[in-house]
Amino acid sequence: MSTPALSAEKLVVGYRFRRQKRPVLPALDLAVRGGEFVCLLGPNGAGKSTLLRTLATVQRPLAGTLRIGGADAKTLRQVDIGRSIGLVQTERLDVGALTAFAVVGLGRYPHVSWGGRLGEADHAAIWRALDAVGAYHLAERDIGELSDGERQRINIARALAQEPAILVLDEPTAFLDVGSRVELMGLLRRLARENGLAVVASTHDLDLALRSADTVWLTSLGRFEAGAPEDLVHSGEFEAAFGSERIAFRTDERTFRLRTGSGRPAIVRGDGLSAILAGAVLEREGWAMVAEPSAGTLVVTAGPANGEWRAELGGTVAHGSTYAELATLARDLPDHSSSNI
Amino acid sequence: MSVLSGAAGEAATDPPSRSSAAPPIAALRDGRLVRRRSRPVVVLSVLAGAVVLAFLLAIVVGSVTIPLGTVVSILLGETPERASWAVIVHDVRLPRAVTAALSGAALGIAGLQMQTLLRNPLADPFALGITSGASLGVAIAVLGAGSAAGALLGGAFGLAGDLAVAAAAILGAFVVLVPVLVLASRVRNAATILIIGLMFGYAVQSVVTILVVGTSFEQLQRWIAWGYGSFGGVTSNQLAIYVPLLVVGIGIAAATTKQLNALLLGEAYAKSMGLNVRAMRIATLAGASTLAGVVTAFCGPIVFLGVAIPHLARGLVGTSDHRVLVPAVILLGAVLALLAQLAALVANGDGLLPLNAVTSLIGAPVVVFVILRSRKGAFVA
Repeated sequence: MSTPALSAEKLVVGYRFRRQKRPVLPALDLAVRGGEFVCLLGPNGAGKSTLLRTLATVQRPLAGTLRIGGADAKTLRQVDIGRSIGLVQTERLDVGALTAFAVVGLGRYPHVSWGGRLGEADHAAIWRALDAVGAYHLAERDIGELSDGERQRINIARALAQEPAILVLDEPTAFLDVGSRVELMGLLRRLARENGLAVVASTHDLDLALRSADTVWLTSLGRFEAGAPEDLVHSGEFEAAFGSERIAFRTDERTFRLRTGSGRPAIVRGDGLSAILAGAVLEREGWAMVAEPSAGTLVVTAGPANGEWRAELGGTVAHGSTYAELATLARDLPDHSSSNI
Repeated sequence: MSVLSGAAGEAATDPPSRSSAAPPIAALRDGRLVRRRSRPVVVLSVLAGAVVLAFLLAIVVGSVTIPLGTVVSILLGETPERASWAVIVHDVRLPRAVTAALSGAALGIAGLQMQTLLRNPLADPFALGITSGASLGVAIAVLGAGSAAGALLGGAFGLAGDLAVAAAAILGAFVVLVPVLVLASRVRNAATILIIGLMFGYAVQSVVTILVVGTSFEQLQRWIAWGYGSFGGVTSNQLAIYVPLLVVGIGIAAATTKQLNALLLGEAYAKSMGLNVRAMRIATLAGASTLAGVVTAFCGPIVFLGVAIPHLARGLVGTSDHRVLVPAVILLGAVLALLAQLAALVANGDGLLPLNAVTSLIGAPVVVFVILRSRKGAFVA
């Protein structure tokens, strides 16, 4: 296999505080190849930002070796690093009065000469970067007028204008609405696949990360695991990292659910969307889905028309035509099993 | 390195299939891109013209009005019918105008550097305590030398003495600026940094006061007069020091516009894009200390120009791009300082109004405007 774009050997990240070293993660051995999209996941305070800042060489490692394109980062000049790694941080980009084009142009820093004059090649690289993030039309707009999502795309274009082999992003989706989040994760994956970039991004969007990442780095409570998302789901690492008394990781759906209510048994019959939605209502109200009905199991038949349902519990039957009604029923049904105790 | 450039090159030479890498033709055709580029050129040309006008006006106006034509001919080296006019122009008004123009440019550039480095819209040499540090340097140099009269406004020790006072002011400015910036790097809150700077300034200023109060009444009076600020105290001999020092200081900013632009994004981004942040910070500190220190040594602690000029320049050129902003600040600084000097002269008849009274009237509204305009109190956040 080819040399990884970014790799680390026994890399210890953390802070220096009054001459003491305070590592936030165990020593890491990492490798990211061109074309690979890595998502870094973990609860707040798990050291995600520290790791990313260290990978982007903005922060010094406490120990170990960081390699960029196979070369020890310590031996590289800052400008060489600028040509190799593009960084995008969480905070809103705040640069004063500049057009989006000018902001992306700042990314040409490691390539332009001393005077900072943009040549033909620089202009071409800027337009290419704007095009890659789908922000061609924003070029002349003032950065202050842009929405958070647009601004984040311009910031990524700025990093792309550096023509790096590696892109490091710290929670790029943090301030975006749901649609922009999905779009951005798709963009990162495309940049990895189509442009051959090694992309490392931290995020709190587990769901999205699990669907789009090639590799997941999981940090929590001083632990670190790396692997394909499905492997980590299978080995129970996700449940261990994020699960709690109140939150359960649903392995089958690869999402987290609130643990609610007593978990009385229920079963949903019916086809397609109606059955799925009826099941969602019951789960939210704290019922546990079971495969086979027994005594005391709530049996809901969804359909035939959308929103229609029929519920049966111990011989009592109810029906309705909206999910709101089903929710009210599921909430208010007396719990005989517990009242008997 | 070969691996690096190879990897980067692959990404670069792989053009997106969706379109070619050229500017949108529509944008070029309707002239929007072109117009944006031409606005700074127009503004800079107008400002350059304004500098020339203000400069000539500063030589024409005074206790004796000298006709503009005569002023021009004197500047061109001809001898006027009244010999006294040539003396006034050469010994008083020309040095004063040169001092004003350069000082305004210098203070504006120092303010711009501080604002960009700290990403703080209200940073300037005065708020950060640099001016007070320079005052301390001057006080120690002058009082330490045991001199009596006239030393504060220079001249008592000849050129070597002037140089020593300037060096002391630069050193004093630097000594105060470094701890303020060290603290600033740990405090993210812009308002906190300014308050720290102001407190440093007050503390240093009180040391200066203690030093000065212990001396003669006459010297105290001179000190107070110096504190009002004036462009009129620099002799043509002293310009031999004043001009080169300020030109070097301004030159540092002019030579680092690319780096200043990178710093617009903050130090982490600037570093990630390849800027040697530490070296840049030191160069900028040295430059700003020189500019603010030298101006303070010769003209007194002039307030508000440093914070106001960069804002007004930004408003005029409509961009934060330092390649445009640095020349705009230099020109606008020169114009404003010349006009402030004129206003101080005209408002008070023969005598000079304290320069700081005028600069405060220009600067204070600008600061209030900036605070009010800053997006949802971003200045405080």
